Amino acid sequence: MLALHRKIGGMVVKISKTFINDDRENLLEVKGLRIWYPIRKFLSIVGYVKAVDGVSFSVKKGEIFGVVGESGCGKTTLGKGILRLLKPTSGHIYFEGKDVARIKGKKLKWYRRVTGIVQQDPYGAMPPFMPVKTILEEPLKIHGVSKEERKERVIKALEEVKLTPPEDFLNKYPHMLSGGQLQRVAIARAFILKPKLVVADEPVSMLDASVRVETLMLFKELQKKHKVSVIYITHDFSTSKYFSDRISVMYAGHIVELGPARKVMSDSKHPYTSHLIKVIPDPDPKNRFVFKETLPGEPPSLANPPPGCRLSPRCPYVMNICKEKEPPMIRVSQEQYVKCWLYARK
Amino acid sequence: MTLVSEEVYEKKILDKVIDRLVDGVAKVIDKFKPGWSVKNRSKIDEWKLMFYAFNRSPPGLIGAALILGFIAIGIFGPYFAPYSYRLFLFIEHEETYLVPPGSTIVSKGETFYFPLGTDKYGRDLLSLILYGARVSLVVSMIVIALGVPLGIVLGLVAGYFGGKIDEIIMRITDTFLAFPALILAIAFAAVLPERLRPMIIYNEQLKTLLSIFFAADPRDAANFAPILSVILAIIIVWWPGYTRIIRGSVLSVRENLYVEAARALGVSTWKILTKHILPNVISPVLVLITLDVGAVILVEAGLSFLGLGAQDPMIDWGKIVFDGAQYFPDRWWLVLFPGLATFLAVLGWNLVGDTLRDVLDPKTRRSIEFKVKKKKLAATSEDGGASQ
Repeated sequence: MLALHRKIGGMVVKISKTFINDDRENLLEVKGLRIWYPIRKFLSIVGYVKAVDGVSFSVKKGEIFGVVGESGCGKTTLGKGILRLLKPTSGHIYFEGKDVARIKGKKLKWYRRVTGIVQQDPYGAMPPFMPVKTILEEPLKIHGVSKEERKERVIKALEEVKLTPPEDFLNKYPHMLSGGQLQRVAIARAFILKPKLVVADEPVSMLDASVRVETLMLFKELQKKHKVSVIYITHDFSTSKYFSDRISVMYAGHIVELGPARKVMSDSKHPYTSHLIKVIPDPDPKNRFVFKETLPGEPPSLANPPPGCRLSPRCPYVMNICKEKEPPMIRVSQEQYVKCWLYARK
Repeated sequence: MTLVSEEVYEKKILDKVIDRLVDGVAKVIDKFKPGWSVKNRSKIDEWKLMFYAFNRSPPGLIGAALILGFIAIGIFGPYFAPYSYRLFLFIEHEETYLVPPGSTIVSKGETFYFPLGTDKYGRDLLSLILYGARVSLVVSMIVIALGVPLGIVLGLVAGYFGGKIDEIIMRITDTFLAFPALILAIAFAAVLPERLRPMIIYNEQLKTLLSIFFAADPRDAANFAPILSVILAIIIVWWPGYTRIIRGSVLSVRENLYVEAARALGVSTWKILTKHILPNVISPVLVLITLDVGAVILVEAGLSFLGLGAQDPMIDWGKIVFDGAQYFPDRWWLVLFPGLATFLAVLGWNLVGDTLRDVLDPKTRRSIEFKVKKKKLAATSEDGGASQ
């Protein structure tokens, strides 16, 4: 791990130049990824919404990497950017060492095959005019799998997601299935091409609470079986804690804290993370009337974010430097990084 | 397990007829592609469901009957016409050739019966309406067959890609939309027939083909040209409507998650357009087509009424009204009967269009299905619950 000591704002700061694990076991490395949406006003671009603004992290092989954040913090944009559904404004995405941020044509098709997506809304994620069979067969067809093998793999995929007997589901249309069943089909579709990376964008937030755990367990089982890396995007700390190996917390387009799931949950460093963990609903009914203190103010506009640390207008520990300079990613312990001036070595 | 439809629906006679019809079609396809009907079982069932829903709507059925009547008359009418449209009988009746409906005339030893009377040349009005139906049918079908695909493709491309492509296509569309059909048709009628006429007359194959299309005598080949120019004029002002509608729907459909999922799986743009987006935007177009067939018949009749369409002795419904208007209201039959025919044909298409709107919209279709389902819901509660 490279670490530099640099003088910033009168303080000597230990900056990890690359806070990415530079091991061979990394499947995906994202470096300084920026995804900005242009704001158009009559043919000219008047500004950008900086949904993802300089994000770096890495995902190991066979790891579940959680991305947690409130709505509007850019986590979905990040997921879409990694899958190349959105064009990155700048930055690099290394997949198995190859930069996929600007690939096109055949290479992009290869990238589509080795990545998968599970979306938030299972009702919207299925084309309403196709039966399950066609939905699952389509990706195989595109990537040139023979007819006999296609049939086999569709049935196998349905068995894997416990939609049994598969013959019952082959000819059903999406509107004939329940939300949980649909999400299983979506998972089957994401895994059918045997991808190496699956981005799961809030896969259970639209589901009934009763099938959430079941679906997540199924997901994990499949992930272990196929040794797939998963980027698990969610706003729900509690599922992320059990599901992910490592968690990153996003705020206003930045990753503010990154570390092993348990460590982040038990010993969070960033004021924003600590605050988020504090306001997780308490399952004990005795505490239902206990008032939970929230941070003052609201998340900044991504079109015009505050200078320096983006949490600075709301942060209780705000210092002068916070309002002037953007904090670097600072390593606080083994594998735990925080983007906060509080931890800069003085 | 079989599909819900087979057990739950209380079938009416028409449903059974449809069942046989659809199964028959499936069998025919099966002969060419063995195993097709087994593979597409669910598709066939879905089609049947759509027909069942259609059968629950009386206006739709009336409209369907009118349309079938119109198409049947359009195709077979000319062959069953009692007299040819070129047969000028010159039977004098009270100093004119205009014979009122239901009269039997004996002239030069021959007996003629005119159920709907005759026009100013003494031609049988019933025969003229039967011949005119063919021209109206062919014109409306050609306009739809050429104009709609053009509009759909441009709308899909404009809506999906957006940005500059969208701007360019839509501004061209606006330009065409701003063209008044009438002025364009007049301009075409002034220029085109002169160019088209020699092409048709000296090209034997085209001549034969067109005379079969219009059920006309090849000797009238020179008069096909104005009709063709009218068709062209209508097509040019017709497709922009479809482009607009498709583009609007594509704009909303392309934001759907399943389009994104398809992109993430590596589905090509063309396949996303045709397989994921088109099926979801096509139903308003199908409705619009049925409404537009009626509208095209009216516009074509209107252009003929202005003297821009068919020329003597060629005939279509608009022209009969045009010719008859000068004798109205004394010789009322010249306006009433072709007008009534136009009215019924347009009404039929409109009724079917309205019903299709309900049948093709999954939400309303489900409510139609539900009305029928209720009775047997208890027996197969699991299936009923699964659908939502």
